[in-house]
Amino acid sequence: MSHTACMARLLASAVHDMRNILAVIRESAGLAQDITRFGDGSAASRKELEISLDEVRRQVVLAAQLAEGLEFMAQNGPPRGSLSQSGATGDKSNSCDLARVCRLFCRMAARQARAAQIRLECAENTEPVWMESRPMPVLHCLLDVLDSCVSVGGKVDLHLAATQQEGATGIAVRVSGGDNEALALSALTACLRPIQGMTCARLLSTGPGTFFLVLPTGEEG
Amino acid sequence: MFCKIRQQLARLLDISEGLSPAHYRALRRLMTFLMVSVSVTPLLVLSAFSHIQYSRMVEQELEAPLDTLARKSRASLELFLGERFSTVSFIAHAHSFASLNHPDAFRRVFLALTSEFHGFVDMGLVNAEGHQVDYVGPYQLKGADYAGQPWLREAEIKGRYISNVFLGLRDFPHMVMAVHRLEADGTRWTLRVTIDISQLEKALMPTGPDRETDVFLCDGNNILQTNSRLYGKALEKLPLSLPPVGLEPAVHHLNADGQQLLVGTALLSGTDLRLVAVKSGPEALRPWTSLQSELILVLCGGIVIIVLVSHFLMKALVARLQAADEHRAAITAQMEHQHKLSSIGRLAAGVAHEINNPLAVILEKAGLAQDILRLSPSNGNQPQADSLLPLLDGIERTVLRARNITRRLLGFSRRMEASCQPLRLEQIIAESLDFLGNEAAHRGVEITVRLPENLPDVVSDQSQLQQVFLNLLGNALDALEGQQAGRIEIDGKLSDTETVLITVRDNGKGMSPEMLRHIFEPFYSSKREKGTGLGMFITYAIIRRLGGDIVVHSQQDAGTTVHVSLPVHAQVISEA
Amino acid sequence: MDILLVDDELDFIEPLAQRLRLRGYKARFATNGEALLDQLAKSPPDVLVLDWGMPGLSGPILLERIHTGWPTLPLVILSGYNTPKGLRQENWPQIREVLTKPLHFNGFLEILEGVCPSRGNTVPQQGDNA
Repeated sequence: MSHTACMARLLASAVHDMRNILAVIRESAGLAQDITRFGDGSAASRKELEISLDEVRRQVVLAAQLAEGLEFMAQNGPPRGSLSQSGATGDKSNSCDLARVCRLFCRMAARQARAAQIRLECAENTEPVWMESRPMPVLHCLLDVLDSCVSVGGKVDLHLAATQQEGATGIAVRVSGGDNEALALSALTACLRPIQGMTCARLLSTGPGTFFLVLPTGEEG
Repeated sequence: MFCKIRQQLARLLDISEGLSPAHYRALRRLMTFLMVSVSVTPLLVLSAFSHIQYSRMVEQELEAPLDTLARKSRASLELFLGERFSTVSFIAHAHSFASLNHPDAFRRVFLALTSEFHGFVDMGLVNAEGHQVDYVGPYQLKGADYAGQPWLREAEIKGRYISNVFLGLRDFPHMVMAVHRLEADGTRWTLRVTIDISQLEKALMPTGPDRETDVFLCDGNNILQTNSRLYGKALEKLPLSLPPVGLEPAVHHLNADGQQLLVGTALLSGTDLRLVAVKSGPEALRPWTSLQSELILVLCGGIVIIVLVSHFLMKALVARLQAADEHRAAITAQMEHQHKLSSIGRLAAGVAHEINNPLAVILEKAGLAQDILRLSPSNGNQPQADSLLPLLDGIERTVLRARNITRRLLGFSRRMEASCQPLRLEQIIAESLDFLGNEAAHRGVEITVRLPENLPDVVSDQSQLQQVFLNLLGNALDALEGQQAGRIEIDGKLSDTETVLITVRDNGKGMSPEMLRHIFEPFYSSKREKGTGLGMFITYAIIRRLGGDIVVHSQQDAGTTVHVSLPVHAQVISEA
Repeated sequence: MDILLVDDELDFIEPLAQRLRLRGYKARFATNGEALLDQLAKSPPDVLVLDWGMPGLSGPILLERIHTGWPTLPLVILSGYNTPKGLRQENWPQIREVLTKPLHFNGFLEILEGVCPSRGNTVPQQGDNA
């Protein structure tokens, strides 16, 4: 899969999801309007109102994350200071927060994962995991991993966590559950053809059902 | 004509993408031709020029010695004859008839004569009546009667006579000189001598014997007077036809029996005799011709070398050029690719940025709505509703705004999404046929598609592949224009484990070999008004980029067949 | 705390100001650079929240003007861009924080407090999770 194809797919997913989000916001806002207009002022309707407004805000957060993910593809470097804690400086540096990238990947690829009945999850990192790399190649690798699972029919649980293992920075991939666990495992074992800009990314087996995606540092995106 | 060549060259050198091999072959041929002609033409011109100059010079060189020889020989002969004649004349005038008319005296004079001068054979004394009253010599000619003979008459009239060479009574070629004397007392008598030709012949070659040149004398009737090495003995007819004689010695070029001859002639003054020096042309020209053949050999060798060098040089150069062009095309494609990547990135980033603002608005409004709900006094619905509704309206509007922003990206990503995925050729062909279906039906064209069930999916770029098939099918339809019972057949098969072969065949008007040669060139279109001429050019480029190949066969008025082979696994060239 | 908000997007800045007011802060806003400078001249706030990507007078030039006039005024920069163009935070010690839109409201409040600890205003604690 070429870089372009990868970008395109992530872009497409993100855009579709974004549109969905906007639709949900619209609906929720519409609902809130209706409650306000036709409600009876009771505590119950106020509660409902609050719930819809909550929904709106939640969706906005998701959308913002998607937007962040989109920005990754411009390869301008990591975003800073968003809805979570403020990030570090680094306008055009070649580093990114692997945890954030992971999270955003899960967000952007959610629809594709769903289509293959794969449950894609990301660990909740509280601390950033910094890496000397542009985000795009990382996304590309992750998409490759997802593709491998899709190619054997999906139906697995994939859990990603940005982490450091034995001095190397990478993403831990855990395959569990689902009907296709065995197939997915074997697919992943043979995974990761060299991709542009990340010729030494390797997927290592680190235990039953777990892999470690080693990402080289200092690579050009 | 130069204009055409220049145009042709410009066209060939003008680089465009999707370069066909024919283009490079043509370029190579043209360049070789130009190089050879530019190298060879001055060579030939120079050779011709120096050939002309040199042959002219050689001619002159050859003529000169002959001319000199002729002159010298003439001088020598004139001297010889002059001397002899003077002697005879002296004798005739120094003696009287009476004093000479004694055999002893006569013999004494003759002996004195011959002791000094060679060549006298005999001497005779002829009286007024024409009787030879005295004779000294090897023949029995005393008492011979010459009365009335022309020579005698001429001698008597002119006072002197020199004959041409003749056989006469003596049965060998000789020449006669006679001096007629009229004494004071009226006695008339003639002194006659015979001269041996061999002495004459000796005088012919004053510069020594020359084996290459044949020098001889002949008379006005082309009768040889002396022995000629090449043309016969004395008194035989000269087989050559000599040009008319002038007073001055001259050198002529004769063609006798296909042989080139150089002939120098000189007239002996006072006689009818002509000195002829003959040198055979080829003989004379041998040094020149041998030089010439050497030069021609060198010239030919040179030309051959020029042609060979040009050919191989141009072959290498054009191959290099082709490689460079392809490399450049690949690099350009790669750059385009990179550019595309970065533009996607930019677009995505642009959308992301733009969308943040509306999102922020929505968030604040929703937040405020919630705050109003929670933080303001909860007495009655109305005041809250008043502030809430506009907020919620605002949210709706903003959502629409955000949606518009994503529309751009949506369109783009849709086009991009099909960049590299497994494609069912059946589907692509079917979709292309969909596009052209109306037109096909309108023209009464029957289209059959035969694809095997197990034709594997081709991993490739959908939009590009579609473009290819649209182009091919469109061309097929155009070829069938105005034709009854038009047919288009599409076949597919697995030509080997990694390649799929699709064939599009039509029975339309086909193409001439000329058109077939140029088919992949840009702006070469058989449809004058319609089309940009870029269809096949782009198709070729796409297919090559997808790692496949395309071959076209066509026969005029019979139809065209296009074979497209595609790799099952796309090696999209210059993409990662 | 007196907060001055500057953003050209009225639909954004108005609700934000209102929300702050609901929590007892004094919040006013301007929608362009000139108006901001006017307001600063008339009555400087305790903290200035400034949108980076505005049309007209904005960005580094505006920053320069603010710095010249009010070098000790704490700034919080907002941006729709995750990486505001032309902003080098290290050059401006005035800038306490750079935030991206959409705003995380609670985080925003925390930052404001950190910049300028509250001096007598009611800050009702809510369980917002935005």
